[in-house]
Amino acid sequence: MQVSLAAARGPEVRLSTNKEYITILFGIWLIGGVFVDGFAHNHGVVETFFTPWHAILYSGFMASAIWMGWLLYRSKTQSGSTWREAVPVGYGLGLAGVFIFLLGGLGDMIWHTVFGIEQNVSALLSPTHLVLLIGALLILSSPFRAGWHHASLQKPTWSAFTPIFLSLVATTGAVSFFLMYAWAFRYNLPASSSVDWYAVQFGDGGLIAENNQLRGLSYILIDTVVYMFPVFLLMKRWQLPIGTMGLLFALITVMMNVLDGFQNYPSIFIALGAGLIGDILYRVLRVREGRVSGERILAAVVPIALWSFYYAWMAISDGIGWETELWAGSIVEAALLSMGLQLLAAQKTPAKG
Amino acid sequence: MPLHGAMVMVTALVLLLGGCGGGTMNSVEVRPPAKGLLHYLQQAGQMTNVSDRGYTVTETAEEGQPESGKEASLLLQVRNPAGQPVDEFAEDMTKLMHLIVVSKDLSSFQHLHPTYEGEGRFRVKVTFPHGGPFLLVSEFMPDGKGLTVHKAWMNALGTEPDPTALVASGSEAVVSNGIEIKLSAMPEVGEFKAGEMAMLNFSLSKAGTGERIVLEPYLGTFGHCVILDENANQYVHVHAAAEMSTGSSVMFHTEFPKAGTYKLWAQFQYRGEVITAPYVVRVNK
Repeated sequence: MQVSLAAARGPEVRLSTNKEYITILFGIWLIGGVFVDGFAHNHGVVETFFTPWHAILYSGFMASAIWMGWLLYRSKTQSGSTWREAVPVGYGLGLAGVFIFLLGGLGDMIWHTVFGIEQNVSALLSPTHLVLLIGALLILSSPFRAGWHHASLQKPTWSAFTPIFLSLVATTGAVSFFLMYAWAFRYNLPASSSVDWYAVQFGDGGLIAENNQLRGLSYILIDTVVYMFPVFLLMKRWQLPIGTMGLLFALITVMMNVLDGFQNYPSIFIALGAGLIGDILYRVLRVREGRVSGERILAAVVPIALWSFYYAWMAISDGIGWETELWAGSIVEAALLSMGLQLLAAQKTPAKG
Repeated sequence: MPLHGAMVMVTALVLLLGGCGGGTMNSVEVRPPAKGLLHYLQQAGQMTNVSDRGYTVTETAEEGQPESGKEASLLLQVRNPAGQPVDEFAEDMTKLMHLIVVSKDLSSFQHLHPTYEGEGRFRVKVTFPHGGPFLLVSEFMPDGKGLTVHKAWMNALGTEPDPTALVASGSEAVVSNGIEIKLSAMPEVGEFKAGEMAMLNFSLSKAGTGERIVLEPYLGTFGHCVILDENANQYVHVHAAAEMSTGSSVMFHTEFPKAGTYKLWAQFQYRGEVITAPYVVRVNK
């Protein structure tokens, strides 16, 4: 699949970097609202529609909607073009996101009135919450799309790359928030102390022990996708500035640590370390210059680094409670998954002959 | 040069991690975090010192001041912040109202369920085991609002027992109704810290034989645990964490709001009878 850059059309409206930061800020506010609201439902706190959680959510929406609307209006009056042409590059889907969010909000109100307020995970995953999430993600990812369609931006410096990068990090962070029940660094199921605890609590062996192995394994695979997919996406489009992967991995892990008050803070260093390995390989294997084989190696080695660091730290600080086949196998499986994902996600090489 | 810098960073990280000896990673199921965003959001749903939301409950004994050892009939009138009788109550754990009656020295504990008579009026029969002040804690959900907790004191006529200081009992097993109840906790009993999550796990078995028993649900859950500090200021009522409980082992997640000595009463149901297990624990700063 070739990267499609902005199709040639009338004069493009491009936003200044400062404006992109504001979009990201309001987008984070919005996602924060969706998330906090979803989680407050989770614990039986909310019993009516009018709650402080909804206040965060809908004030974030007002801010985002007014901001996006104002951007469009400004661009329209300044360029004198049609409304359609006045949409700033990358913000078309963001404006659609505003409407999707509005529909989701109305739906949320009706849903709660008709079906009541959900409990537990079902609240986070209620249809209207998912619509709200989609709307918010479209708004939040606007600066990323704007950068993607910036044809002359091939080797961005950090100053040009930062809003694009933050937009992607925040979007990925929102996805990982919604996957918090599948976040390996929150459950640490392979650790000796975890295995022992479940054994004491629910009896040795049996269904719980087996389920925990399957959970642990699945979490590692899911989180591998969450970490690696943005890397492939970024590598496909730009020649990345130094430290991109280290920063990406560290920021996502920091965001997940906010959930639990940094109780599992070593995960930040583990992820940062793996990301830096990625940055080093990116240079050494000349992936930056477009070497495909280098990208494949990177796809395999980074997950190996991530989970090896994880198990190494676990072995030092606690002990690995899983059999060797299981924990070693999980590293290999993660590497294979990442390579498979890379094959699907990477730039297609031109056919020969 | 950037490459070199990155390698130095990786090395530094490994050293840094090695230096952080306490950085054991736990499962949030094993050790629920005591801080962080999720904890903050969960707190809102915790029943630690829940407010009365401006609602009042006036307790009057119908035959004058109650006497120790004699059954007294109490009338409880619930009023909204505007002073009007409340006529809408929602069920909380299968009952419209829970009334906890505890003597000031925390030696006596009763968990009762007043009957609703309409117009915000509840009636209940109570026998005060001795004279002196008793704390009456009523829990209810009025007017579509969340749980509301009201506290009031009532004096019973009769001789007051000599004041005895509350002594931490630690985790010794308690026997009640022929059932032995063992408490284990995380952190360990005696190492609780104020404002931090504590997990209390009660294992129940037949006293003497140690035979496994299977509990029945009690008021909509596996168990209830009421917690009061020595001055009866800090009040917590927690329900069993269903996903962490089995028929013979019940877990509560709680938080002791302040340092001090606390008495807790864990309640379960077995073969139609309610088992109450009291413990006294110390909570550090």
